Amino acid sequence: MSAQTLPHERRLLTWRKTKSAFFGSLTFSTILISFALLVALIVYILINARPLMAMRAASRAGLVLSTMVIQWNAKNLPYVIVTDFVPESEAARAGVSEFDAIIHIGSETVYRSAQVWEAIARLPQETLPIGWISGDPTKIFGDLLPQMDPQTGALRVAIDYLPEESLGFRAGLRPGDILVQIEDIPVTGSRQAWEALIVAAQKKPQPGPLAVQIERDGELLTIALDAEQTAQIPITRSWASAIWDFLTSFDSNSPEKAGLASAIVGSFYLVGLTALFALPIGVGAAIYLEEYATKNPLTELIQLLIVNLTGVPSVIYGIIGLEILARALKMDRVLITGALTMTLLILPMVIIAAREALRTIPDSIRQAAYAVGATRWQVVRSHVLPYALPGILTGLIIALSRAMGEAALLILLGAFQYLTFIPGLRDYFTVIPIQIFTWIGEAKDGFANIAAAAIVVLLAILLLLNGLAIFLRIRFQRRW
Amino acid sequence: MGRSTVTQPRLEARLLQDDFAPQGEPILQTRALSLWYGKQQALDSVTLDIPKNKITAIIGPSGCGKSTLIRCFNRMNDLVPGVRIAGEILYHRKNIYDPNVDPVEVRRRIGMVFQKPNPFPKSIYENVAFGLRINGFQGNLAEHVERALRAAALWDEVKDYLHTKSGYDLSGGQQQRLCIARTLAIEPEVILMDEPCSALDPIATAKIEDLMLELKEHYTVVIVTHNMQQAARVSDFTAFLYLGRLIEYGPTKKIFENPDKKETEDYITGKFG
Repeated sequence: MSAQTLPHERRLLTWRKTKSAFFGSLTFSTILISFALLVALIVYILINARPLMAMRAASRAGLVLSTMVIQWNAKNLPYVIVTDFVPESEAARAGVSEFDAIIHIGSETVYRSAQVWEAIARLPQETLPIGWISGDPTKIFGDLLPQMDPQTGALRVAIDYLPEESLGFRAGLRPGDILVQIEDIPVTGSRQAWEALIVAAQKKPQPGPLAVQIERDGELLTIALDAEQTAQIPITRSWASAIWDFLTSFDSNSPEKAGLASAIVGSFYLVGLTALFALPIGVGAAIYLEEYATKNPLTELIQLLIVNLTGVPSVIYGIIGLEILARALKMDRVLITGALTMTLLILPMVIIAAREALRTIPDSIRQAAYAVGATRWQVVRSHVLPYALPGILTGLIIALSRAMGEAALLILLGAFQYLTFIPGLRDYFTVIPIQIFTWIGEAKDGFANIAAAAIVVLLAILLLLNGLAIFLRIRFQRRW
Repeated sequence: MGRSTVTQPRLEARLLQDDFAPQGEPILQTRALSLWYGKQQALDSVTLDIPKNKITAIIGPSGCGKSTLIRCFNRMNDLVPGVRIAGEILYHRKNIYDPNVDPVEVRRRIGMVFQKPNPFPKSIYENVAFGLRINGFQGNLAEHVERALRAAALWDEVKDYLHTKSGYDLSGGQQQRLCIARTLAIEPEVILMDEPCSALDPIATAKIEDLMLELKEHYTVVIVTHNMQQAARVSDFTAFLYLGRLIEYGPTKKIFENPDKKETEDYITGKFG
């Protein structure tokens, strides 16, 4: 045979080269695209999580906000109120109290709470200039009394009683005055008078007096009512304390105050218990299948079933947990039931990983141990298992990070909870993915942002877990 | 002087004849030993006696069953799935394949050194001490480990890092001597060596060969080797296996200088194998 390549061989070689280049490039571009998508996703999530710091800063300053709606001429006009009075807070010191409506930040009119957080995020200084209208209408108009116009029969709103320290009194309103319109908005009801004030104030570019038209003794007068109060509220912005607060507070109806504490504890409890259950059972099964079982139809069937079980959707496991553990065995839908169900889910993965790890231990090691008179169990306990342990743990951690991110199974098991305490083993519980799911479903401004922040937390935990797995693999990997 | 070519029709007669036994008291005796891996027969009615405190070499071309044979002596083949064994192996005149015999007990008396050095990935000390520990050794462990390492001519090279170096940190030859020390530690009567030098360089091989000659004093050594010079150098008796059959067995000098069988002569002179 000559060393020269024949033409058809050369053609084959070229074809192979082209083929490998094509597949190489396809693989490469696929990886590139997936990587780009992943980066885009993470950037998107981070952008969404960005207001967390401002939200927490606002909440610490006493500005726990909620976006409300005034229905006006078949339109929904949004405005922002302070939903939670925090005594001793900066806002409370400035005189802001519960249900007060925030109208302006500096010279910007506020319609949604997100605007406040954005303003806080880009504040040049450490104080927030706010303009607000008291949520208590009596502080402005006193007690209003709807009454019938004796001539026209139309409904009108009269001031029944007006304390002297009220804003209205100071602006010149007196009891008996009839409110006609605020700026260009007719007053048609006592609650509506306050809403008209809000809408009128929102139309002003910055806080200032509003023209209130009244009827006094049959005459129309216009009074400049300085309803909007202003203050500079000191804001302390800090990512560190925002993250700490977020991680250590419980769920809440206000996104500024809601935190991940119960979900994080629930997740770690769940994953820890799952590891506790899955490790001995999984490793035991793997040792049996790899070291003890003889090859027969039964063990082959078992192996086939284990491999198939990894492909079963997690909801199916959830139903098993719900019907058998929670209901038939009356364990209720508590943490320990969740952990047992999760064990069912990850057990096939653990068994397969453990078997792979056991299989990497060369037979020469087993033979060496047998040759000095070790029994099968001594061989497994003193040699095979210790050497395979890093691999087994790596597999376990990978399986556990799957469990960490699992939601579908636990929704069936009632992890869909609003918790304001740290769950124990026999408590109802929630986990991070379900907390994220709950928050994303909330309509209120800000929940989407803290959901994004929770996703970042979940990703960080998963990254840590996988980092640990990689560390174990590199640190203890042995070449035989 | 015995020589042995076992064929089926003459089997019964040969079992009674006992003329295949070399001089000296036999410690291991195979009787019509046949072995199948599934359907494939690897040993065919092998009958030979291993004399005590001698070195017996088993030679033959690749695939002739010499490793299979040596692994029968400590029931290592039990670990291979699908193995079937017929015939007997007598150890002190007792059949080790008797159902009442615990293979673990057999392996404690008949140690084995493998082709590729296979120390445990543990410290040198632990490598040697493992066999003692699992056998419930009562006494001074450290002293016993030292004695085993000295017997394997490894002590001087490793005494300073018994606990700090892993068996894997040693050179190939040292690893193999560590494996020998590990085997010696449990004080077997017989040491089986399955091509112990095939993975070693000539200097390490020479050390192991010297060691074998020393071990002969206290132990019976059975060695499988590919290397005919090695068989000629170290062994007292040589068995030639071909295609699962024992072709010829006798004193090494005779096998190498004046074999009875043509196959033996062809193999020794390098015509095949």
